[in-house]
Amino acid sequence: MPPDAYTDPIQIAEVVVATITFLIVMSYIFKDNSAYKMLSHILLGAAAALSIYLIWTQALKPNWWDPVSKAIKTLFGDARPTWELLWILCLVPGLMWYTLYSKKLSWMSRIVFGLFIGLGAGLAFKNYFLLIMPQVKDSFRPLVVVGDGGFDIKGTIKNLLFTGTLVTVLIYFIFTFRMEAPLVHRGRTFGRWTIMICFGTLFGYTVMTRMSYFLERLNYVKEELFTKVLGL
Amino acid sequence: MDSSPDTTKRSEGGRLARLQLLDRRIIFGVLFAAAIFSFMVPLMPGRSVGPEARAVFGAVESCPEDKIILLDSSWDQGSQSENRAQFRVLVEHMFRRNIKFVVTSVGVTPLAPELARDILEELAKKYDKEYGTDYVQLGFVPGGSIGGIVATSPLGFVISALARDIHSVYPRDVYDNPVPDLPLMQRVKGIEQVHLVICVTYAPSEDWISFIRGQYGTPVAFANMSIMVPYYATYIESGQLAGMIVGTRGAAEYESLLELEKPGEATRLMTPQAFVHILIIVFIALGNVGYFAARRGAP
Repeated sequence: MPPDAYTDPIQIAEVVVATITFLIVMSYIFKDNSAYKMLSHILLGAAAALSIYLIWTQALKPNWWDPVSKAIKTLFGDARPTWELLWILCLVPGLMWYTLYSKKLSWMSRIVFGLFIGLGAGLAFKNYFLLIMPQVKDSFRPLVVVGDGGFDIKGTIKNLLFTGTLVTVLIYFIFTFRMEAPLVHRGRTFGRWTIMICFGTLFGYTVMTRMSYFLERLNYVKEELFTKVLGL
Repeated sequence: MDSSPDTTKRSEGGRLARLQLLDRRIIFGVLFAAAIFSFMVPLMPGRSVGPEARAVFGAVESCPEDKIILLDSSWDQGSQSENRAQFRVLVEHMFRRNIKFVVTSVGVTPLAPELARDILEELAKKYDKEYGTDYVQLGFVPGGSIGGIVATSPLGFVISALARDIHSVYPRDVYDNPVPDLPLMQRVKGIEQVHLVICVTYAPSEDWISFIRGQYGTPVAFANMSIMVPYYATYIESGQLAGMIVGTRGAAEYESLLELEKPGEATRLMTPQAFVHILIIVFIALGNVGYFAARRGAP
């Protein structure tokens, strides 16, 4: 057995369960089966329970419940009430979300909806300028690049390709005007080809990611189950 | 029986055309067998390093002594197949170069700190580094959504707050120590003391680019899943991203730059990756042969 072999029954059980789960999930690509369906239901139930747990432990409890309950306790003791008691007011807009389920009171939910839309819009506006404007600025590139060592052919080709792709893809997405000039038509075709190449790249990376998932799990089975549990 | 050359040609086309109809179970079975076989062959180390990984390496290397690197570790079991190797190699690099760093887990998954902690503790032991002085792990802070449900402030607000005052976002670290008591955190207050931000997750939020690079000018680099590369490539081109570690391949490239004594996790996975990629290319070629054969044989 290797020096780092597992001896703890819990560790061994963890590896065995992970391996069986992996095999059940992979069995789906050959044929749908009851073991896979059962596992899907278990995972869905676990994920739903975990979401509730996480919302309580990571958001509601530390940010709202703890300060409010601490402040309420001060009301019944000798200590002076703290400003954290004001957090209780958050309950009002929070509960207003749930008025959505009442026809009579649903107008109240629109107030908090509006608040959140405003918040999101403000953030998106700032985000747009900080994220997109540098891209727009970068799009204006010299078509002939002259560096310190004179004419830069590599830089020139790169910028020509970049600008050509940018312009032709923009032409491809113009639907408002009917443009039948041969140059525009060829530009549109070139734009379509560049988009197709981009989709091909995207698909290639997708395959790479999916294979990474698969190979990492195979590696886990090899290193954890075969080496550390079975000692092979 | 008609045995004219034309009929023979058509029937050959018919046989080849069946390649298009290859049962997917055969494809998956061959892929499975090739993947298992690929783990038995000797490792084939990578020979080329892409500019994206080299750029991240260079950005980490150039960290001055009076600054730190903010490493956001927001990956969990769902994306560990690529993110774990990326995170490990970055931590290894910083420990080797004696670069101080702070690990956060902003917004994406509350499961992230535990997975990161295992690697941090293992490598800290290997390089004899001290928690609180050489590195700090601050833990998870909610932002955006939890479990797919919007339950907290938008991520951009949290990142902005982190940039202004880390202590206000993180009063305590992952071990429940008060953050102001940690020696490293006594000199790290906000983004001014940060040389570089690296976000390791499935799909890093663009808010890091807007609110850190855009607003404060601090370089940002991503270590993400391969599938996300086309989305972030534009930010590399425009200089908004300082670099990118692309999936397992990027991590393997980084490992080769770091010249590890033993092949790293990503390098070990690249040989099987190469095998299955070649096999997929072969299947695509066979599918195309079948397609053209069917077209040629069609009346």
